[in-house]
Amino acid sequence: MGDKENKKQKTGRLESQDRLGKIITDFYQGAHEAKRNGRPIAWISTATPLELLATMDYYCLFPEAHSATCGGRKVASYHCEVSARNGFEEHLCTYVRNDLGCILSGKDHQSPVGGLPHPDLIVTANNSCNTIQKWWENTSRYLKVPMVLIDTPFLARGMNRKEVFKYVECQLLDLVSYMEEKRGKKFDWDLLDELVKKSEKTCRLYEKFISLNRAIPAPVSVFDQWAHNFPNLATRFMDKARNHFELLISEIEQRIASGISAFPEEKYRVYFDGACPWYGLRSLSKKMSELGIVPVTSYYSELFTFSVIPDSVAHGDKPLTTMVKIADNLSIVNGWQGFRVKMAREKIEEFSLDGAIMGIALSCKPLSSHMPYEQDILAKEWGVPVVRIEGDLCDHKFYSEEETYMRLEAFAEMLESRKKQQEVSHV
Amino acid sequence: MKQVLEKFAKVLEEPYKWLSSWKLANRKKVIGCLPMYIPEEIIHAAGMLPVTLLGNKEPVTLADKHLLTFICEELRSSYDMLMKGKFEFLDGVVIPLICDQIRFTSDFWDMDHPFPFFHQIWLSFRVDDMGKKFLISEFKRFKSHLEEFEGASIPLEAIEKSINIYNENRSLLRKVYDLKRTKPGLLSADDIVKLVTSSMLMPKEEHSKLLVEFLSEVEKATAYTKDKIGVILIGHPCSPPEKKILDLIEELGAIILNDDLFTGYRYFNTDTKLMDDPIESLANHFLDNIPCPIKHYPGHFLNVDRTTPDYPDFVINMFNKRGAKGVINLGVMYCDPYDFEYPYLRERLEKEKIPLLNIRTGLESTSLETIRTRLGAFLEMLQA
Amino acid sequence: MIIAGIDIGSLTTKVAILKNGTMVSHAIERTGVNTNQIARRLLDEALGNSGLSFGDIDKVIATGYGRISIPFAHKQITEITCNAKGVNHFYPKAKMIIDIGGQDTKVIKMGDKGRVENFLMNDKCAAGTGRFLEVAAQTLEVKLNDLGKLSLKANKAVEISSTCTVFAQTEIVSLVAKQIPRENIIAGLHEAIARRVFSLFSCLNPEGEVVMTGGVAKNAGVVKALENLIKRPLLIPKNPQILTAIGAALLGHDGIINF
Repeated sequence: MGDKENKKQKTGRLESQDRLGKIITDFYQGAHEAKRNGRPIAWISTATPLELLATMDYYCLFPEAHSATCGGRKVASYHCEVSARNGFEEHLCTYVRNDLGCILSGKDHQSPVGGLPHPDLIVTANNSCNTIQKWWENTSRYLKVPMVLIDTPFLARGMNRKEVFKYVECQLLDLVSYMEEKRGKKFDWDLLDELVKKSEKTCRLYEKFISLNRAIPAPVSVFDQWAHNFPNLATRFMDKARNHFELLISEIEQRIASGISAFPEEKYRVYFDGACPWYGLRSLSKKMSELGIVPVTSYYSELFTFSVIPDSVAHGDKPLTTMVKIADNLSIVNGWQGFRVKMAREKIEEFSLDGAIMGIALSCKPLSSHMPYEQDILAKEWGVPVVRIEGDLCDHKFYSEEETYMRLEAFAEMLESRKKQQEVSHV
Repeated sequence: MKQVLEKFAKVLEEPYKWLSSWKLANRKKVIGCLPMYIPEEIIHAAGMLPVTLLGNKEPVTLADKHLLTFICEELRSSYDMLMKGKFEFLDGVVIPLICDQIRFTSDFWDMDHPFPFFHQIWLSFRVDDMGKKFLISEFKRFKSHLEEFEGASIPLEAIEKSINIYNENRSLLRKVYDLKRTKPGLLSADDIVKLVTSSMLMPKEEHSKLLVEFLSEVEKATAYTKDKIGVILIGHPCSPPEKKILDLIEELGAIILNDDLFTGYRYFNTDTKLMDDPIESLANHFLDNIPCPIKHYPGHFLNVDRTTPDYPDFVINMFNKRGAKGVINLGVMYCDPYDFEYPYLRERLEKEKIPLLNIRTGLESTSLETIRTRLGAFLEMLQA
Repeated sequence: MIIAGIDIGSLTTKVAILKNGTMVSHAIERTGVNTNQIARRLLDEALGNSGLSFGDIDKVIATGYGRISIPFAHKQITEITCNAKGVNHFYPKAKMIIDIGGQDTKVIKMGDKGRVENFLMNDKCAAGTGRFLEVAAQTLEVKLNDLGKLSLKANKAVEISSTCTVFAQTEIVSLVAKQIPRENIIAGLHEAIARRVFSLFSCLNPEGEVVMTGGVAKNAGVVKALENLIKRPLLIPKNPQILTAIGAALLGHDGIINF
């Protein structure tokens, strides 16, 4: 054992955390204010082309992000129970059950942001899952609001990309005409161009922020990355989002320069696969910090928006083309599943990782179904130690701290013995 | 009658053995289709045998290696058989990406057990002109892929011919179903399942021949009628319901007037209407048919005035048309599209004052005795 | 007219003897392996208590899980229909029933004369049933009958997150290890059960008075937790276990199923 392993590093809270907090608070307060001022409200899913709606001045809210927030505050369980009372089976996606439960609770809802203001239009794309289509349909029925589904075919191998592109494009154009009719004004294509460019810039900065974790020790953990995804998702076309990431990146660069790390001790660097268990961040963070297991990167961080498509300016894409690509190219999820294993392997190389955690979300098929396969391949073909922990997206009742801690401890032992083995073989 | 029925049942005893020997004798390719909505006619027109892959009651032992337990039983069971090498007789598989479970696990079929032919189909979820255009392109892609695999083109006339052969089989099955209704007690609900599941395995021509023979027997036979409580049976979207549950429903005094089960009326409810382009006919057949909970009707949701009928409308309509007393839903655990539709279905039926019983089947923890009590109480309620 | 109602549940068998629509005798015993024998013995016992014999009976109605294994019964009716009838007899104004038995939980909505309008049963696992409490009592090393009393002494109900009997057991063990007072754990268990039952209950669009039956109705802790959720008092029959047997006999008396 070298003495570098025993060295404790400096750590500390990210200063950008406060700025992030303000962006989130402003976002939700702004939504309620927009509603009061008669601005149209849209609820959209995370991989719906936001900029299209923003161009028509819709204030866009994200029920998925809202469920995450409810999960973080541990009120999602209550909303999920309300859904169960209304006949939604307990194995169904907890994001949906939280959101519908919040709607069905009426004034008794427990949303930390005062619920989402009543929408004028709800739009979703089934690129993430088919569940989201049923989610939005139920919302449309309960709230009696018009709904648009953008059908985004799974990019299976052999899929006719040209036809897929045409299909998604004509659906987006149809949505544009609908908004034009509803809003009584022409769609401003120049404005879309401007917004798309701004958004892409923000997203590229977010990507850079993620890539800075290649540093050893890692300046932040994936838990921080997930938290800072919010401006990248919801406010990405706004100047303040770009500004946020510029400041964040310089803060991280400073951290790297002065050797400040995510956890006091970085014994093992690992990949985190799966959805974020929003209620369990503190609990997981505490234990992993104790064990010196640093979750350095994850695909979840890169799941959203422009990260999934190649540089649009370099490709000379029209803004609508970019929108179509975003809608359909949710590549990690909406395409050949072997890609995820490949990606995990690449990340493990790129970020110098020692192992992988599979965070199974028990009600989320798109983010969990591939895990047993991935675990099998990583362990068998690449000798990467893998541990599965179980939980869910937002209902903390799926998560058992004792059980998870036990597994993480066993994982640390696995990593330790592998390290020793490698040291021996080096000698 | 019983003798002809035995011929169907024979195929189902050891279906894969039967198929293997069929293949050997006929020297044709066999393509497995996972449930549901695969345009089998195109496979048939290519001179291959399309076979619906159904799970069975064998305990799942190998599937858990790569599938989590929240994947529905049907998929876990067929994947388990794949891993056990029971599908060796297949030349290829076609998989419809109709739900999250199948969409996010079907690649493992190819990765764990590559077949010479592997194809996934995206059935447009939007039921409108845009969806139709894409669906036609998907069916064409499927056709070209099959042509490439076979090394020969599939003429449109061949598809037309296959559609006619399929339509004949459907109309014969409808005739049998009508006789089941007009001569209650003669055919059981499970007999219908046997007829449909054997149709899913056998070449349609052979099956139709047997059906003609069967029909003439059924027409001759006399029924013994008793006062029965008429019910509509729905649920089980991708798998046959268990025989013991169907038997129990009938034993307790109910008669199934109509159903919307995958291995029931849904398989043959309407013919494919022939148009100039047979591929378009097949697309229409999927889009214009039963408003299955997986489908999205943009008109229905954008205008909020709900002009197109949805799944509850379809069930209510069936209930009224048949003068039933109640609706029984045989729910399958982990069937997301149906489970997300269920609260709305329940609400709509409640509004129409249509009694509904929801039973979860296929679960190891649900004993037949519990189901007996619930079915019994439901039928007592309908009589009161 | 003398009619016997026999309710063969998974845990206990109950017999009620009705003479012209009034109960004259009843008997309860644990259900053993030979349901038929026990039912017959209990029937004879109940008959004996009121000075009657088997030959005096006009009709025997069997209900409960073991109803099909009683060869001397004239008719089998499900415990759902019987329970509603029995409850209606004592509480003509009640519209809802919550029945928590050993193996399952039922909620029933009634129309006039105790006619079943709708019902739901949990059919997934033992969570939210008497069995769940039995397991919990064993794990906590307290008597099943003491659970209710103990929980009323709790100063704070601990949150039990697991909804599964097996997992809940693990959770109880870890709570005990953390030295959480037993009373608070029990109160938490009662709340967990109540929440599950409440989910089922809400699905029926509840209205009117609510009667609670089944063995768990004797547990004051569960009753209290449920009352808090449904926001109205629960009516508890003095002998909640016997109601279904009485209902069965009443159905025999009135002419089967025709109310």
